[in-house]
Amino acid sequence: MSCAYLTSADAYILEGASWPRGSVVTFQLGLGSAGRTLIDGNTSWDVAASPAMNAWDKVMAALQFNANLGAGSAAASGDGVNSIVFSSTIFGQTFGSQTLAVTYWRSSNSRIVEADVLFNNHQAFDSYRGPLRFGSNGFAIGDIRRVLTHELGHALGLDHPDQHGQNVDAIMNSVTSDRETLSNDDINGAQSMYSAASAPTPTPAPTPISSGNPTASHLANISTRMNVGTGNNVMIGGFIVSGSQSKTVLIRVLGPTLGSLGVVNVLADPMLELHDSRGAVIAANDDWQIGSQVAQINASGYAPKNPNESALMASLAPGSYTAIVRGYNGSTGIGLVEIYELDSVPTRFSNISTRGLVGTGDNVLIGGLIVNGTAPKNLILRAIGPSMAAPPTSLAGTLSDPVLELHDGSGNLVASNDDWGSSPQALAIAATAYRPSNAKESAIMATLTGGSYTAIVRGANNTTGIALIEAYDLDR
Amino acid sequence: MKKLLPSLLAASTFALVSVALATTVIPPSFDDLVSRAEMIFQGTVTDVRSEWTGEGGQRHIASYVTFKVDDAIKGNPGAKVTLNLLGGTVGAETMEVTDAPKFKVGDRDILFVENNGTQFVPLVGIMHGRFHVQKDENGRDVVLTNDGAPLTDVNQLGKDKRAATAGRAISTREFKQAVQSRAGHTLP
Repeated sequence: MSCAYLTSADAYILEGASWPRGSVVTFQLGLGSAGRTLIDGNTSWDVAASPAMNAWDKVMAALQFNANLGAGSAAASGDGVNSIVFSSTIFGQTFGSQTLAVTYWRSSNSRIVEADVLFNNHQAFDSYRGPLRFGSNGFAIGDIRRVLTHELGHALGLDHPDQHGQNVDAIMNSVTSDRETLSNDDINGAQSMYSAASAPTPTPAPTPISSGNPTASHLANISTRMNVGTGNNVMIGGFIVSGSQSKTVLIRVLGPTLGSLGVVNVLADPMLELHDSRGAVIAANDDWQIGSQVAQINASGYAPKNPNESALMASLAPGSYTAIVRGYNGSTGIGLVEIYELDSVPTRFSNISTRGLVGTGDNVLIGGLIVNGTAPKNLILRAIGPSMAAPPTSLAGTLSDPVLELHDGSGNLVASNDDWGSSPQALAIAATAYRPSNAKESAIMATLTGGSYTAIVRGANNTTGIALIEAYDLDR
Repeated sequence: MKKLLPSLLAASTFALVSVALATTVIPPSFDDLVSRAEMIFQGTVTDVRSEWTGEGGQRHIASYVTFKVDDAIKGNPGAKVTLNLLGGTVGAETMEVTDAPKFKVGDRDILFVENNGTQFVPLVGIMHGRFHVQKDENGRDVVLTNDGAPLTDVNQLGKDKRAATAGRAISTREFKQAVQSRAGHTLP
């Protein structure tokens, strides 16, 4: 056997096999729920780890990673499925007490055809940024993201430079270190196999597409502004996509941008997760400029102004979805989550809702919606509080007596209600499927023309607590 | 300097199917190496054999590396020891554990063994549990780390790799004395 050496100032080491250029390598990311809040505020290993894929994606032109978050899968060599999972054994044998993770790949003719990453579930993992942190036993706490970044380097075909006589700062060195991002040497290694990613090509702003029925109205945008807390007090936004086709949406979370508009105590670094109706995380983003969707988000016209803000685009099949907003590292502050439709297919939002902690002053719960079209749109808005204390939610700290206001785009009060049963609309509300179950909760039925509207939920007599604001399309 | 691994260069010549693995390992300290090893010995590789084992998704290649024991340092290894490692080559197919030490007949090593037969690489700290023995320019047996760097200070193992490998390699006798000092024994 012979060795081939390529003279270069670089120190990276190639394992000798690589994926076919142009591959989209999809991993079943099945690390699952952390069962606790991690140091960086995430509660899902998958969400915490997935930016590792984005880090590599950003620098390569001829290969991209794709992740199916929450796709539980047992890894097996030769099953043709690329998996990232926790495991207690590798092929029935133990990892050894100081092994964090193992990556293996199969190749044919130096072309990788499958890769799996196994995390040793006997190790203490967390998710955090910055220098290594150490447990009480003196060992470094495994940072799930930086370990996956390293393992994905192996999955690309990179080896350890420090195990081959090289002395270089690299995430691909054999030992975990304070380095948590790709070094120039790591990037050069990846680009030697998969070429350098070019700067995003500017694309024209999307041309508005007219609806199939110019007079039909629908909910085109929903948003909620509130004080994002921790634990049960994070911001949870729900929406239902109704129709027969998938709908393309953009979801973004603003924090620092609100500060530039004069809002104080903003959420400095929001994080966004999108869950499906089973609760599985189907997409996530921390900082919108880190990820594989940067060009599309820029082209959408809805790119956040601050790099710490979050955004993602998704094509969603009809069903119910939940967006959860947290602050990075458990931080808190006022955040705004917005959901925009990016197409004109007849599939529409039929319900929107947001749950969060209602405070006083600037910390009340504010929901926004846009009605698109020229025909009047019939809606019912609800402010739910005390009924969430009962099963199945059994939520502690609910807002005991929510008060609901509806304002138009100019800030004019359109309608208000405390206690839906005392409303002149009580009989009509009771006739719908959306009658609140608690007499202290509020509801408003409204026929709205095209335009933007704002619903505000406060506590009666400045009380505070967790509340849910909802809007239902009564025409669907 | 970029290096293409020789085994994979060879593989590129033929239509082979191979499997490679890589580990991320917290390097153990010298105290960890000594205390956790069930046996420590200096040996010479006399045989390397690989075969398929397991069924279904657990099917894999295992390698059996046999050493003639030249010097028992901790435990009772007997006259020979066979280590069971994950990975290897059978016919045209290879399953490679990138960080696992690669052995060939004639290699001389000092090995810190744990969980042989139940751990995918039965060495304390995986690759960190193997030290090469090599003659220096004066004909003295000296100790190198698993990646071929001269071992100069056992107290820096697992702490500062650069400090552990800066300078002149220690002799096998010095290394064994350090092991036995930690293990509570003395050399004869």
